[in-house]
Amino acid sequence: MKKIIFLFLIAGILVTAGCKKGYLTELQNNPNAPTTSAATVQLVLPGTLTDLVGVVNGTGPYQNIAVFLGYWNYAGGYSFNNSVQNYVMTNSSPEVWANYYGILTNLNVIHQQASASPTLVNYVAISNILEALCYKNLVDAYNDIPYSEALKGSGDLFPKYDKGSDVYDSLVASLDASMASIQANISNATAVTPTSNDDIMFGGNMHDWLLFANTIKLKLLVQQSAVSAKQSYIKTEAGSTASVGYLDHDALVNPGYTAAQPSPMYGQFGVAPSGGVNGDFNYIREGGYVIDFYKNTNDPRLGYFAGINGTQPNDPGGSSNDYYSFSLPLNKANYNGDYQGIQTTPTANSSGIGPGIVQSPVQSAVMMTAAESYFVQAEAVVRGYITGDAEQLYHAGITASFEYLNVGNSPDTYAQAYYSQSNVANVTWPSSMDAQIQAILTQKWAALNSINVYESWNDWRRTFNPSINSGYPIIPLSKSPSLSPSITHMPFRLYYPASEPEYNKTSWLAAGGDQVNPFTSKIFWMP
Amino acid sequence: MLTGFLACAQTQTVKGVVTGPDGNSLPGITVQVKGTNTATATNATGQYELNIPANSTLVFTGVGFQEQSVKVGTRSTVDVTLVSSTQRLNEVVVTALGIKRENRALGYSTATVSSADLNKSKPINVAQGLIGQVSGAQVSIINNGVDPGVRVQLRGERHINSDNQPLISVDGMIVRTDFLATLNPEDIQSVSILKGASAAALYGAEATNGVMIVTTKKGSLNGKPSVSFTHTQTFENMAYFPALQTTYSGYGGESGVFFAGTPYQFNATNPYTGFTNYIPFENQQYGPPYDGNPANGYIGSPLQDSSVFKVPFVSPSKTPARQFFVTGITTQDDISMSTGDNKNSNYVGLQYVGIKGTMPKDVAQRASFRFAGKRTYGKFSYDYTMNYSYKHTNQVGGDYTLGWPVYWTLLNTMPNVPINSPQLKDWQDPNSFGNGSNYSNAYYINPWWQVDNSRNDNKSDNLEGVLNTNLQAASWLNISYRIGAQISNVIGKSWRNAISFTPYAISDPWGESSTPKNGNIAGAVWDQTILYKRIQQDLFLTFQHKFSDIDATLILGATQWERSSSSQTQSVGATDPAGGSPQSQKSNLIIPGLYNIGFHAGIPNVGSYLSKTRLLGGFADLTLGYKNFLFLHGNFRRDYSSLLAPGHNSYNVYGVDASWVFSENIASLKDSRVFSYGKIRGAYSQTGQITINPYQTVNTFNVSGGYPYGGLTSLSLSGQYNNPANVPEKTIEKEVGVELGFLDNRLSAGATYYFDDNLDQLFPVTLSPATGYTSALVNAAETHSTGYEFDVKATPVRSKSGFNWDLSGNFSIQTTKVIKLYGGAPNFGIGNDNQAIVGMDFPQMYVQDLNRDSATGKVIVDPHTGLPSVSSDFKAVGRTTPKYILGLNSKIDFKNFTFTVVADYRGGYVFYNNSELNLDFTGASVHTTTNGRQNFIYPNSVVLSNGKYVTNTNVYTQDGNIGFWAYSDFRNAGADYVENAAAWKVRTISLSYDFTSLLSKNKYIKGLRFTALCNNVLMFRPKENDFTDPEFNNGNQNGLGYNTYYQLPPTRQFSFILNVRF
Repeated sequence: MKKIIFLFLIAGILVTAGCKKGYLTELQNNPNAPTTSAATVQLVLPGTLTDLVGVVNGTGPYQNIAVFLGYWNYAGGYSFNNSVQNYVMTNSSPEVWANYYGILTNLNVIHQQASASPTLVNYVAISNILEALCYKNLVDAYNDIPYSEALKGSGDLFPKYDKGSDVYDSLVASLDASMASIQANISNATAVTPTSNDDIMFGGNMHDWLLFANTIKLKLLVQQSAVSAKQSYIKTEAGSTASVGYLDHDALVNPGYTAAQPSPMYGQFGVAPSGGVNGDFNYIREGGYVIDFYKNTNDPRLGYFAGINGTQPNDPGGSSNDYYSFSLPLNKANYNGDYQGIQTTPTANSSGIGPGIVQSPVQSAVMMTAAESYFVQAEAVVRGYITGDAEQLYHAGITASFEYLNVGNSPDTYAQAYYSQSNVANVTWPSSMDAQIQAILTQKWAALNSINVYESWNDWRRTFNPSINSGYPIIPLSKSPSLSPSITHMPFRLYYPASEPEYNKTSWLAAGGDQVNPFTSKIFWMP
Repeated sequence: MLTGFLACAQTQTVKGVVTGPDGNSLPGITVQVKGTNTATATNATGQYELNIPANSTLVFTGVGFQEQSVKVGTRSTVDVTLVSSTQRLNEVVVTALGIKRENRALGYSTATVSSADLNKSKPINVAQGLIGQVSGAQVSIINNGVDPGVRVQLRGERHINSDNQPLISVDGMIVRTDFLATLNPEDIQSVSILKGASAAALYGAEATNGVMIVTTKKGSLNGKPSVSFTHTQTFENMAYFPALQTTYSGYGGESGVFFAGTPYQFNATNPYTGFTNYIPFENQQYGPPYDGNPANGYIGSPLQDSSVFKVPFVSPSKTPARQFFVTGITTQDDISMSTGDNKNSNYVGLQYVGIKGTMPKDVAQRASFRFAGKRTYGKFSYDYTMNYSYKHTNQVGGDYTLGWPVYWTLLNTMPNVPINSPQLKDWQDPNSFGNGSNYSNAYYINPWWQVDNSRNDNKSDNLEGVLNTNLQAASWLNISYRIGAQISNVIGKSWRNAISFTPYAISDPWGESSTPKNGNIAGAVWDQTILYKRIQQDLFLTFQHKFSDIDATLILGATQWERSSSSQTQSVGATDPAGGSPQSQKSNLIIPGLYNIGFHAGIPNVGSYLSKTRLLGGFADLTLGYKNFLFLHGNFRRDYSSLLAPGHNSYNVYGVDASWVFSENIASLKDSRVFSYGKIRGAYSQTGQITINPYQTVNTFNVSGGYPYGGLTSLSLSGQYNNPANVPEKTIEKEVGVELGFLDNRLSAGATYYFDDNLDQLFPVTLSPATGYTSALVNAAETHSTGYEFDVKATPVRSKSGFNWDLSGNFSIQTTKVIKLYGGAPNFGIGNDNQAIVGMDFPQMYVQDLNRDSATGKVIVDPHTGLPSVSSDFKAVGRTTPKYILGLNSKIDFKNFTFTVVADYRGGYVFYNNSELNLDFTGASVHTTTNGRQNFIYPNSVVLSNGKYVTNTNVYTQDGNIGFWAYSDFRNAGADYVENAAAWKVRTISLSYDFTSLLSKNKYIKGLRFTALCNNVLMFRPKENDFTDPEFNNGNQNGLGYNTYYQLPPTRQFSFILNVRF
C-alpha cells in the first residue's frame, strides 16, 4: 500500500516536471507589458509629441532661464530663491538632458520601425524632423553632445560626444532629406499618412510637416549667424529650400487635454481639478523687465501675458474674478512685478502669469509659434540669407503673437495699431540693419514670453554683444544683494547633468566635461 | 517484525538519571538503542528505564543538548550528564534540503541557533533574534515602527544586483524573505545557517547567498503533554533623536511686510538693525534667538477674528519632534502544547501580538496558529506542519501636500510650537488653532490631522504547509518525498481624507503664501491586493552502505517549484509620497471620510501585474566517511529555469568538501585532557544564480506619461534594456576552516577563510540617458569577495554552587572588490548614490565634494563671498557596508538567576546622512548653530590670490545664517554629509528568575520563569554622527548607507516576560 503511494508520487513528479512540453518556455511571454511588435509607429508618436511639447513649452527645466531673461520672478513672502537670483548653476538644475534623450529614444523607435516598412516613409520623415529639433535644443544647451553614438542601447553604453557644429551640419542634411522624402511621397497613395489619432500636431497634414521642417532648418542656420566662417554655407543652405516655405500658423499639440488632464502650462499655473489654484501660480510672478517693456511700448499684450495684481484664475468666467475680465486700453497701474534679485512684492500686489498664457485646461500646448517663424524669416532676410520683405515679415510676427493671444478679440487691428506707432524704439520698423535685427529680436523676446523661453536665451547668447552685430534687449543683471561680483552676465550654457560624470565618465572627460564653466564656456555658435 | 527481532535477542533492563550541566535533572530526553527503534524518554525527574538487547549502545538526545552515546555493557544503571548544545561540536546539524549531518563531517561553515538563543531578546521577528549570534551574519534593523524592516545578509554584499539576502527554508519549504515576519519565534526549534555558497550548493541557483533553515517544533518525545504559556509586555520609547537646536526661532528668507494693520505688523528684516525678524508662520528656523521678547510671544498669523495663538518666546526644553511621540506598548501572548512520544507527536502553537507604536495611533497585530506533528508506522513515517498567520498593520500615511511623513513635518516645526497643546490636537474644532485653516505653520500641515486622517493599512493572511513522507525501503535505501506550499494574500489600503479651508485662509490675507491652505483638497484612496503562491515538491533517494572502514551515503534527488504572484492596484487622488501632489491628480474621492473607490470623480489609476517562475532541478550528493574522522563530500546539480531565454536557461552547480577530525586520529591528542576536539575542513564550489525578475528577457513598452487622453493612448519604450543573451551569475567559492575544542569543550573556537569569484554578475547598470535607456540588464561585473570568520565559545566559570558563565564571541571581516565591469566601464551606479567602482570595495558611496586645492586638500572659497563651491565631478568616499562585525554574548546562571548580554560592533564603513542635509536646509539641526549663525571664515579654507591658493584669514562668508546653511553650495556637496558609520551597540540585556525549584511540590505547574529585558540598550557612535542609527537605511536594497527622514529615530524597548509551563 505504502509502496503504491510512493510509486504514485514518483510518477506524479515525473509527469508534471518532465513531460509537459513548453513547461519553462511558455513563461517567456510577458503578460504585463507589450513588446516591440505591438508598439506601432502610430502608438508611439503621440507620446513623443506631448513629451516634447512639455519640454519646449513647459516650465520646469526653464524656470531659471525665464527669470534670467526678465520674464518671470518670484513673489515676496516666499523664501528668497538664492539659486535663481544669484545664477547658481548646478549639474541638476537647470537640466534638459534626460528629457530630450528620453524623447529621442522613442523617436528612434519610430525611426527604426518605420524604416523597416517602405509604406511608412512619412513616419521616417516625421521622426527625423522631431529628432532634429531635440538635438538642436541639446546642442544649444550643452554644445558637444552624444549624437553619432547615441541611442544605441547595449551596443554602446558609453557614447562619445560629437562637436556641436558637426551635429548642426548633420541635422541640416537630415532635414533636407526629410523634406525631399515628403515632397516625393506627398501624392504617393501607398505611403501611409498619419491621422489626427496619432499626429496630434498637424493631423496628418504632411505639407505642414514640410513647412515645420524648413523652419527648423532656418532656425539652425540663423542660429549660426555669428560664425563668420559659415556665412556662405548658411546662405547656400537657406536658399536651397527657401521655395518650400515656412510655418505660417502655430504648431500646436493637443492629445485631448481636459480639466482633469490639463495642458502643461495650465497644469502648472491653472486651477486644480479639486479646486484651488496651483501653488506655482502664487509663487512665480511676471517679471519686472518684461512688464516694463509692455508698459513703455503701450503694448496691450501686457494684459494677456500678465494678470491684474493679486488676481487668480480661480473661477474662469466667474463674476467675482477680474483675472480674465479686463478691457482695453489697460490700466497699467494694475500690473506689477519685481526685477530679478528683488523679491519683495507679495502675491497680492504683483501680476501672475497672465490669462493669455493660462487660458484654459484644454488649451493646446505650443511646439512653435507662427510669430517665431516670421521673426526668424525676418532676421534671415535682413542678414541676406533668404530673400523677402523683412518689414512685412516683422509685422506678420507681431500680428501672429497678437493672434495667439487673441488681443481684444480683434488681434489684427490691435497689432497694426501697435506696430504703427512712430518713433517707439524696437516697435517702429527702423532703417539700419543693426536696429532692424535688434527690433526683430526684441519683438521676438516680447512674443515668446512664457511660451518658448529657451529660444530667447538662444538669441541673447548669439547677439548679446552689441559691438559684434546688433543687440538684444538689455536685461540688466540680477539685483540680488548677495550676487558675487565675479558674475558679470547671465550664464552661457548648462552644466552637463550628473548622470554624465557618474555613468559616462570617460566620454564626459574627453569632451572636457570637467572643464565646463557655465559663465565662460561657449556654445560653438556664440560670438 | 519488531516483535520477531526482540524475540530472538537477549534483553536486559537498564535505568538511570539524565542531568544537565547545571546538575538539574532533565525531563524529555530521548533515550534510544542505537540502530533500533527502541526508545523511551526521561520523566519529569529525569529518570528512564528501558529493556535493551545485550551489548547495546544508548543514544541520549534532547533539544538544546549535545547528543551523547554510551556503551551499556553489562551495567544496569547508566547515569548521564549531557553537555549543553552551546558547546556542541559533534552535534547533528540540519544541512541543505533538510539533510541531517554530523557537524564533524562538514567541510564548510555552518551555525545553529537554538530556540533559547533565538528568543533571548524575545523578538517579534525571527531575524531580530539572530543579531549578534553568528559570525558572518549581518542583521540590520533598517527602520522601526510597528512593522520594523529587517535585512539579513550572510557574508556581506557579494552580488551587485540581487538583494544578497539568504534563501529561507521553513521545514524544507522555500518561503519569501518577508515570510519570516509572519512566523512566531516561539514555534521554532532551531535555525541552521549555511553561510556560504558551498554549504548551499544543493539548493541550486536560489542559494548563492547562503540559506537560513528554520526547523519548527513537532511536539515532545517523552509521552507527556506539556503546555507552555508566555506573556510579554514591552514598552518602547524613542531613544536617539538627531541633535536638534532649540535656540533659534522661525525665519525662512522672507522679505516684505507681514500682518499689516494688526498689532503684530513687522518687516521681515528689521530696518534699524538689518537683522531678520521672527517669522511666526515659518518652517525654517533661521530667525532671532528665543530671548523672551514679549512682542514675539505668538505663533502663526492672526485669525479672522484677530485672535492669535500666544506662546512665550523662549527656548523650549524639548523640540516638537521629541514631544510628539508616545510610549509604545506591545503585548505578546504565546501558548504552546506538545504531546507525543518518539513515534508520534504533535505540537500546537498559538500566538497573539498586539502592538501600539511610538507614533500616536500606529498599531499592528499578528495572530498565528501552528499545527505540526509526526507519525511513524514501522518503516513508513511522515511529518507535517501547517502554519496560518494573520498580520495587520495600520500606520500613519503621508500628508496632503506632497506626501510628507509626520516625522519630517515635526522636524519642520519651529522649536517653540507646543505641539501637544490641546489647542493644536483639536483639529476638528473650526475655531481651534489646530484646525487646518488656522494652523500656524504655513508650509507644513498639522501632524495631528495627519495622524487621524491619513492611514496606510495592510492585512495579510499567510498559509504554509509542508508534508514530508519517508520510507525506509531497505536498510540501504531511504525514499522521501516532500510537498509544500506557501500562500500569502495581502490586502493593502491607504487613504487620506479630504480637507477644506475657510475662504479667509485660502485668500492668504497675510501674504504667507501658505502651501497647505491654498485650496481645498479632495480625498484619496489606494487599494492593492496581492496573491503570492509557491508550490514545491522534492524527491530524494538516499543510499547508504558501509564498505569496511568507509561509510558511504549517496543521495539522488529531483526538485520542482513554481512561484507566482498577481497583484491589482487601483487608486484615486495621491496617497503615496511618490504619487505627486494631490492637486495634480486626475481623480479623487467625492465623499469626505468615505474611502470606497467606487465614489470617485475623474479617471482612477489602475494597474495589474502577473508573474510566474518555474524551475526543474536534479541532483546527486555523495558523502564518504573514513573511520569517522575523515570525510569527503561532493554534490552536483543541474537546474532549468524559466527566467532566462531558451538556450541560456540551464546551468550546473557543484561542489566538493572535506573534513578531517584530527583529534580522533592523532593518538597523542586523543587522550589529551586539554585538547578535546580538532577538525580542519575545506570546500570548493561553483554555484549559479539568476538575479532577474520574470520576463526580463525582452524589452517592453509602458503607457506614455499622461496617457490615455480619452480614447487616445500612446506607448513609450521602457527605460531598461533587457538583454536576451544574459547568462546566470557564477560564484566560485573556496573555503577553509578549523574547529577546535579544549577542556571537554568548555572552550571552543572556529575560524574560516573564504574567497569567492563572483563572475557574470547580472544587474541593471545605470546609464547615461544618451544611450537611449536609463539602465541595462547585462552580465555586468566581476567581483572578488574575501572574508574571515571567527567564533569563540567558552564557559569560564562552571561551579558546583550553580554559578555558570557562558561567553561567546564572533568576529568577521568581509570585503568585496570590483574586478571589472561591463564594456570596460570604470564605474556603475546602483542607487542611493552607491556605486560599483573597479578596483574598490563594493559598494562605494559616490558623491560630489567641495572644490579643493589639489595641493593641500583645503576647501577653496570665493574671494568675494567667502563661500565654497561644489565640484562638478564625483568621488568615492568609502564603502557603505561594514567591514568589521563583532558580536558578543554573555550568559551567567546563578542559582535561579540568568543574566544575558548581547552586544555588537560594526565598523569600517560610511553612511550618507541625507536627512541632516535636509535639516540644515530647515535650520533645525544643531549643526547650523556651529558659528552662532554669524558670518565666519570657512574652516581650513584657501582663497585664490595672485594666481595662488593662500590660507584664508580674512574672507568671511557673506552670510553665516540661512544664506550659508540653506542656500550655499555647501549643502550641494554630498561629501559634507558622509559620516563614519561605526557603532557599538548593547543590543540586549536581560535578567530572568526561575521560580520552578520553589514550586517543586506543585502538581500542576512544572515551570515558572520571570524575565526583564531591555533591547537596543545603548549605542556609541563617533562624534561626527550626531544624527541617527547608521543601520537605518532608505529601503531594503543594495544601495546602502543612506538615511532619510522617512526613517524614524531608533527606539529602546523594555520587556517583562512571564513564562509558565504546565
